[in-house]
Amino acid sequence: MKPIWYFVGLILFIMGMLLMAAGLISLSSPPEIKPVLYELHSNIWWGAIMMIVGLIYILKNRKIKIE
Amino acid sequence: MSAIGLTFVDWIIIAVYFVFVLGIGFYLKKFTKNEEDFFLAGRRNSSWVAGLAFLSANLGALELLGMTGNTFKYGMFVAHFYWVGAIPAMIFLGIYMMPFYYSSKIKSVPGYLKLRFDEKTRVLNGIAFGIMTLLVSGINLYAMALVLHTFLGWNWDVSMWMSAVTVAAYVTLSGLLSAIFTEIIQFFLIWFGLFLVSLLGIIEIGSVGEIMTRINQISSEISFTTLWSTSGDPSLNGMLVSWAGIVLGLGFVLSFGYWTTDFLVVQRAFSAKNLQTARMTPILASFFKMAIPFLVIFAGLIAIVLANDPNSGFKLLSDGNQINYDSALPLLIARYYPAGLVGLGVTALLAGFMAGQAGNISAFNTVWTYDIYKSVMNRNASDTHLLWMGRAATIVGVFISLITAYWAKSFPSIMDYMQAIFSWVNAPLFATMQLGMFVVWITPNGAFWGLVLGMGSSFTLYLAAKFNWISASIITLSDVSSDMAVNFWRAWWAWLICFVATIVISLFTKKKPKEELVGLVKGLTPSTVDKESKLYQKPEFWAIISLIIFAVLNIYYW
Repeated sequence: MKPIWYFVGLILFIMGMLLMAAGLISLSSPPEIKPVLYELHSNIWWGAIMMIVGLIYILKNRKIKIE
Repeated sequence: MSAIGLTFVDWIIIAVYFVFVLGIGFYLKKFTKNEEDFFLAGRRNSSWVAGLAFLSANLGALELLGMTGNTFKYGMFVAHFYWVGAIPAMIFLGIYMMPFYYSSKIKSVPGYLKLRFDEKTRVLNGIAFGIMTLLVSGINLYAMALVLHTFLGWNWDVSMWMSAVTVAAYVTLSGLLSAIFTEIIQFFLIWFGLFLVSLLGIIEIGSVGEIMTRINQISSEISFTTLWSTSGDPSLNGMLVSWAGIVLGLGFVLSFGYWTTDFLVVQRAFSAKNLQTARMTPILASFFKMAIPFLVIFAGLIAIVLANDPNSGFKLLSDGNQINYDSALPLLIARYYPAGLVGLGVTALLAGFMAGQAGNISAFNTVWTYDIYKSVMNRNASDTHLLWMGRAATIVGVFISLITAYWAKSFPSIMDYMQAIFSWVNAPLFATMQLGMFVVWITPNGAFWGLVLGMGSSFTLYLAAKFNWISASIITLSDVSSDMAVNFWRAWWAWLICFVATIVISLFTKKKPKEELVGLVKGLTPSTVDKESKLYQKPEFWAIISLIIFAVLNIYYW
C-alpha cells in the first residue's frame, strides 16, 4: 500500500497547479470585482508553494510501500 | 445573494477533492481484509499518521467556523480551548492513560470499561456514546448544509446528501483506514486553505501588534486581547468567566473528559503500531493543536478590527438583531481570496465537515459492533460477520445522521444541546476512567451508579439552567456569566458528583479480584518506562517540550 504521504503530495500538487493556473489566467484577464490585496496575486505564489511541497512528498514516497 | 462567488476553477478544485477521497476509499478497500483492518486500520500506523488523525478528528469545520466566531464574540479567551483546554489532557493521555488502553488490546473505550468493571457499565457507555456520536454527526451534517446554503447559495438537500453519500461510500469501503487517510488530507487542506486568511489580514492591518492595539482601543473596559490577566474578575473579560471556571471546568473536566475518554479521538491512537507509538500520538498532536489559534483566533481578531473600521466595508451577516458570528471566517475568505483560493478555502471547510462526519461514523460503527451488537445481541459472531456488521452499521449510521440533520433543520435550537450532550457523556465518564485507572478498590457497581448519577445530574443541571429553575449564578458561583461560563461550571459539577458517588458506592459494594485487574489499573501494571530508547525517542521528552511551549504561550499572551 502506498503511504498516506504520497496521496497528500498528489492532492497538494494538483490543487497547487490549479491555483497557479487560475492566478496566471487572471493576470491577463483580471476580474471585475477584485478582492482586497489582489495585487499580491496570492493564488500564484501560494499555488507554487503547494506544488513544491506536494512534489517533495510525491518524490520522497513514490517508491515506498507499506504492509 | 450568496456571500461567496465561485469561479470555474473553484468548482474544479472542489470536484477534485470529491473524486480524490472516493478514489482513496476504493484504493484502500483491497487492503481492508479483516475486522482489525476495518475497525483499527490494521494497528500499523506511525505516530505521525495516528497523531495527525487524532488531531484532525477534532478539527471539524464546525469548530473552525465556530471558534473564529467565538473569538469575535469573546476575544482571546477562546485560545483557552486550544491551550489549557487541550494540551495538559493530551499529555496526560499519552503519558499516563495510554498504557492501560493500548496494552489491554481493547478495540474501544467502552471495551476498557468491560475489562475494568463489568458488562453493564460498558453497555451504558456504549449506548450513550452511540447516541451522542450520531447526534453530533447529524448536527454536523445540518451545520454543513446550512453554511453551504448561507454562504454559497447551494441547495440544502443536495449538499447534505452528496457529502453524506460520499462519507458513507469511503467509510463502508475501508473503515477507519480511509477515515484516517481523509483526516490527514483534511489537515493539510485546512492549513493550506485557511492559513492565508490570517496572513493577509495581518498584512492589511499592519502587524499583530497593531491588531491588538486597535482592539484595545475599541474595547477599553473589557479585555479581548488577554488570556489570564483579566480572569480574576469575570466582568473584565469578554467571556465573563473566572480563572477557576476556566481551570476546573474547561482545563480539567471538559478537556480531560473529551481528550482522554472520547472514543472518536482515542480510536486514532489505538490504530498505532505499538505502545510507544500510541503514547506519542496525542503528544505529537499537541504541538499542532497549539498552532491552530493562528488560523482561528487571529482570523477572529482580524474580523473584530475590520468590523469596527467604518472604512473597511466589513460587516458580519445578521438575521434581524441576531449577529451571525459564524459568518466571520467565510466573509474573510470572500474578502481576501482570489479565484482558485476561494475554491481551496471552501474545500478546506468541506473537508473539515466530511472528515468530522467520517470520524463520528467510524467511531460509531466500532462501538455499535463490539460494545452493543457483539456484547448484547450476538456474542458468538465470527470475524467475517463483524466486518459485515461494521459496514452495515456505517450505512445505517449515516442514514440516522441524515434523519438527525433533518430533525435539526426543523428545530434549529438543537444546536444549543450540543454542549449538553458532551457534558452529559464525557464529563462524568472522565471521573469513572480516572478512578478506574488509578484506584484499585473502585467497584463495578460504584462505577456504574456513579456514571448514572453523573450523567443524570449533568442533564438535570442543563435543564435547570435552561428553564430558569435555578439561577445561573448558583452554578457559576458568580453574579455575571456567559453561556460558555455556565457550560464550564456544569461540567465541573457533573464530574464532581460522579467522582464522589463512585467513591462512596465503592466503599459498600463488592470489589473485583486483583488478579482480574492486572494491566488495567496503576499499581497492578508493569511500568512502561523504556530504558532502551534514546532521549529524543521517548514520549516523556516530547511531553516536556510541549509543556514548555504551552507555558511560554500562556505567559506571552497573559
